[in-house]
Amino acid sequence: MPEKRVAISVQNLVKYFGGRKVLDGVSLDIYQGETFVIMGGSGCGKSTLLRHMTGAIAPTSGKVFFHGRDLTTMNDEEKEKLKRRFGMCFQSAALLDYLNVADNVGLPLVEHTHLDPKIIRMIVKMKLGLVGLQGYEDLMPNMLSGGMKKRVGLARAIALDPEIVFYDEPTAGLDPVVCAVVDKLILDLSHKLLLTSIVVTHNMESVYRIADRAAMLYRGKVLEVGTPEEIKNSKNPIVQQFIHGQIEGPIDFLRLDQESSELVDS
Amino acid sequence: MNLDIFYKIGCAVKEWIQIFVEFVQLTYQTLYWLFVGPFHKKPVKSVAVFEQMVFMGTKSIIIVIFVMLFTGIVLAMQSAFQLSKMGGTIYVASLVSVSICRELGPVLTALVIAGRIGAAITAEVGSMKVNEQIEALETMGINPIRYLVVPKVVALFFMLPCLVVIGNFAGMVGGYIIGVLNLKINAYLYIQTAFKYLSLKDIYTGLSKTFVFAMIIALVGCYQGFHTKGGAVGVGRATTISVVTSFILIILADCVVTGIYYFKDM
Ligand SMILES: Nc1ncnc2c1ncn2[C@@H]1O[C@H](COP(=O)(O)OP(=O)(O)OP(=O)(O)O)[C@@H](O)[C@H]1O
Ligand SMILES: [Mg+2]
Repeated sequence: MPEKRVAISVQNLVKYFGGRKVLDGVSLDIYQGETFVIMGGSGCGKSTLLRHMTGAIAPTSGKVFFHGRDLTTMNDEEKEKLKRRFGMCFQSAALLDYLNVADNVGLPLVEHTHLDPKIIRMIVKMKLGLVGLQGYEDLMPNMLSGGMKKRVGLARAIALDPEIVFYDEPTAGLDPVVCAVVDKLILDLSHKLLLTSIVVTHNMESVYRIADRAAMLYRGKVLEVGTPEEIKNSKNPIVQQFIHGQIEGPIDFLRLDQESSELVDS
Repeated sequence: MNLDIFYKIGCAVKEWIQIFVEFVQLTYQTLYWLFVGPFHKKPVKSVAVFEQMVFMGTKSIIIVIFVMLFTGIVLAMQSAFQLSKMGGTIYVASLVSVSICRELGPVLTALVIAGRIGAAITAEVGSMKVNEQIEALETMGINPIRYLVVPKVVALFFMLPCLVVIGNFAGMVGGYIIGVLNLKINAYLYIQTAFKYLSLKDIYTGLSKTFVFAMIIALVGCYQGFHTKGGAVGVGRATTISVVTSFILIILADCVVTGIYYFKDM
């Protein structure tokens, strides 16, 4: 195996939201070209972690490095330049609702390049083709189904040919077939465009399908990092309970506070 | 018990100071993107400004004419009743034209626009905020202030004075209707009296206020939009606060600007 370069490195990230600790010392290295999955229960801080990686919010303490450059201390102008190398697919798609599909996908191109509108239209068409939505250019976002919105969001994320794409729950709320389609799309894009993909999900099937490596987040801490195989065979009871979706176990839904935190610490 | 009150007052004061600082920052950044941004090759798109102008201007004309026409009518009827006792009904003409141009036209139009456009701005920006669309813009490296706020501020800055001119005209037509049709003043005499006591200064003191009002409406609308929290309910609440805040600030600004002209001439 060739030597792996670290694309994003998160070091000791801590984040408080109004006195509540949401991230509690997260450290991760994500290598160039891999598909890295972050999984974990609802509200455990996955989206928050992703937001730190894209530089959308600043941590309480800790650092995020992108190819060795510290995102947390960068000034706005540098950050804005850097962000063009990122693509992000939002949990709620986050399409601008007063723009049609083509304008949504083309927005980063219009704002960041000086390309001719005709060329932009061609690129948009191509990107929509990649997500299987050619011919939907003129529809408004409110005319699309949830799955279609997500795919438009994906097309927008890859409009500027980014190096890294972040996906926040790309398959949540989709039927199993569309789930599989979106997963295949993520894989295809990573392979075709040589992307680094960082995917947040709590769908275990997706994890096995797409992940090169995965991390399990629990109450703001990383419990386990490894290949899907390693995660599957983890000895940690919390991980086991999560991947099998059992009610009985250390994750106590009603008393999340005391006992399980001891497990995390040990 | 007593300390509790001081604590609460302290918190409230701190909150107000914070709001004020954030509002000043928003204003500063708007001016930065308007005047300095273009030199960094990041101009505001003129298409966006024109779109906003159409939305704010042409679609508000009817309501402004409606409100001002009836204000003129009411003003003429009220003053005719008083002036007729002194045998000076002819002065209805100048009273209506001066008070409309100096005061009522700018203020009433601004209030109408605050209710219409200010609320629309907050609702639009606020729903973009709660649907992650603002964050999506940031992640794409598109500054939301440049992309969303500046076009609105510029558009309203130019459209509000235009609307006020139209409103002033409508108000004087309202006065004319009563004066000529009801009070049987000669039409020529009415128009002559209306303009006899109306100096250019009356018109430009009135219009100069509207630039301030426009900034208030657009910036308060955007500020409340950006600070919207908590889904659709939050958008509704932010919209209400935006309109109420605009109303209060418009009245205060009116008092200040009028005061400046008043004491300057003393
Ligand atoms: N802007 C914010 N202000 C205050 N608290 C926040 C904010 N964003 C997130 N939180 C809190 O941080 C915690 C983690 O939120 P986050 O959105 O990261 O969860 P998540 O793991 O993505 O959950 P889900 O799977 O439901 O999307 C939640 O308890 C949430 O209430
Ligand atoms: Mg989330």
